[in-house]
Amino acid sequence: MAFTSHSKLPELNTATILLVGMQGIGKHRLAGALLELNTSYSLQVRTATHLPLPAENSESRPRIDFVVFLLDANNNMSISKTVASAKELDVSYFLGRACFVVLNATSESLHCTDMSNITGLCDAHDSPMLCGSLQDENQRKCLARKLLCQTEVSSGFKHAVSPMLIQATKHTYEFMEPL
Amino acid sequence: MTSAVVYKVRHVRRHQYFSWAESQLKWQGKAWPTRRHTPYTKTPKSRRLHGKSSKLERTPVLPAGDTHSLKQLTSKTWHVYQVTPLNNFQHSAAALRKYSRHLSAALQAESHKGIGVDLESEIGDRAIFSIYKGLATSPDDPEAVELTIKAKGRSRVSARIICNAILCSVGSEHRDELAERLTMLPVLLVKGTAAVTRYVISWLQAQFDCHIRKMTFNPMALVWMVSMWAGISTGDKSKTVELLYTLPKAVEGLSRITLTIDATDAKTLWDSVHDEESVDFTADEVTAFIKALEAHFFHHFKIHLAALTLSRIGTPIVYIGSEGRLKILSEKAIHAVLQHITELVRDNFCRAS
Repeated sequence: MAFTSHSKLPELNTATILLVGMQGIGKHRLAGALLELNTSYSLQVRTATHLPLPAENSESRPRIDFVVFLLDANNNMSISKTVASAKELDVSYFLGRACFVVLNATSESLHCTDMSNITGLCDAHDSPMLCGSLQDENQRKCLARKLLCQTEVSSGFKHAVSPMLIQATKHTYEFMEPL
Repeated sequence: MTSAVVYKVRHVRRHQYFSWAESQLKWQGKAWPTRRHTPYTKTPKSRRLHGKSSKLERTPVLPAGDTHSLKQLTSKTWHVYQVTPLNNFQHSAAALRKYSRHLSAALQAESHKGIGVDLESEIGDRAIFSIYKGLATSPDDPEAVELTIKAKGRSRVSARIICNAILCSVGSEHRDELAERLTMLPVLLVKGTAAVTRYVISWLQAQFDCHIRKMTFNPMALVWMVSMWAGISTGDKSKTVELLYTLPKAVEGLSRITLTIDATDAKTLWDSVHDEESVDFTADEVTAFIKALEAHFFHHFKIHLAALTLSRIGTPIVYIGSEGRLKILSEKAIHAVLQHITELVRDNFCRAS
């Protein structure tokens, strides 16, 4: 049974982030950077190489507040795995509780696919795309801060701001030429 | 009331862009919508295959006895550079003589500067510009230009060639009009020592007001090229299809993996992937071809090649490295390869502008 954003009760003063990315992409480095940040609540980071999560231990697993997909533009396998994993995530997460992090987006000479495929993936799931790097500490910290900002919203620590509100204000409800 | 209207509008929009995207690009059997504002352009869905019934507008006419001149392009390692349109470049014999004179003078002046300091970086003293016939295939192509730089060795009497460069444009269709004074010769092939290459490039940049940059091929481009040309056999048994993958630095004790396939096997696979009637090679065919190779490799070695970086490819007709090195093996393939590179350079320009 796939987990949904409302299938479990939240724990008191806790936010949980799930990092999904293939092996060796740097999930633990990012997790380290996330945990180093000072937060007034306790932050938990879980990692997975792919979704769906195994059925065992699903009882003891805390509620996941925010899902981060890590993918590397220079690595074909990480892209195809992310595509497969994103399909498995419950649709309630794509209402402001998930985001895609693209690594190595700037090194175009090593790209394995067109960037339009990656932006298309994010657009199809209507989720934000962050470009970043895990190479040096400052960049990691910067990326961690951006992620934490979104996590705070999705776990309800920002007063009166819900992920749905962010999602709703993302679009300008106007007539636009078709994409 | 308003919300109902809004809902309807969004619904229509989604429907429109999904159907549009479907026709635009397919990736792993799935169609993505595309964003409007990104600095990236996408690779075309299919590319022309040279060979059977290519859209080659006219076969280049070679003067008799000149066939050997194309042969000198083959079996040598060239460095590929991309060149923005040349300003005020003329093809007339008088103009070429003038350029030769200017560059020779510049080279002599430069080499006097460095005398006794750096004996290794000899940059020659005589430059010759000439028309290189037989490369241009479409009526829009300007004739290719060859640049030879000779040096008189200290002890030797006869001059020897220390640098060879060819500026060319093969099979380009003019998608946009160029200004009167500009000449589009987007591909520069260079073979020579680093010092003289650097000097010649800076001279060309200053003289013709252009920008010359090393051409690199990303794994996507390499995958395209190996899939397109793997099935073109030259009949030579010793020629193989080769893919060289580099491993991430974190892996110790192993730096690269070379996957070599017999040309006949590659041809069999290629035939099963490619639609024989079609003159185009599509993105789906590229994916299918490379997926098949990766699956085969994984079956035997339990290594996912998709997770590694492709850095060099070899086919029976050409070797290309990601850092911009090119070696054409077959004379027949010269036009196909250079046309593809011309297209890639032009795509790069579209990307940048």
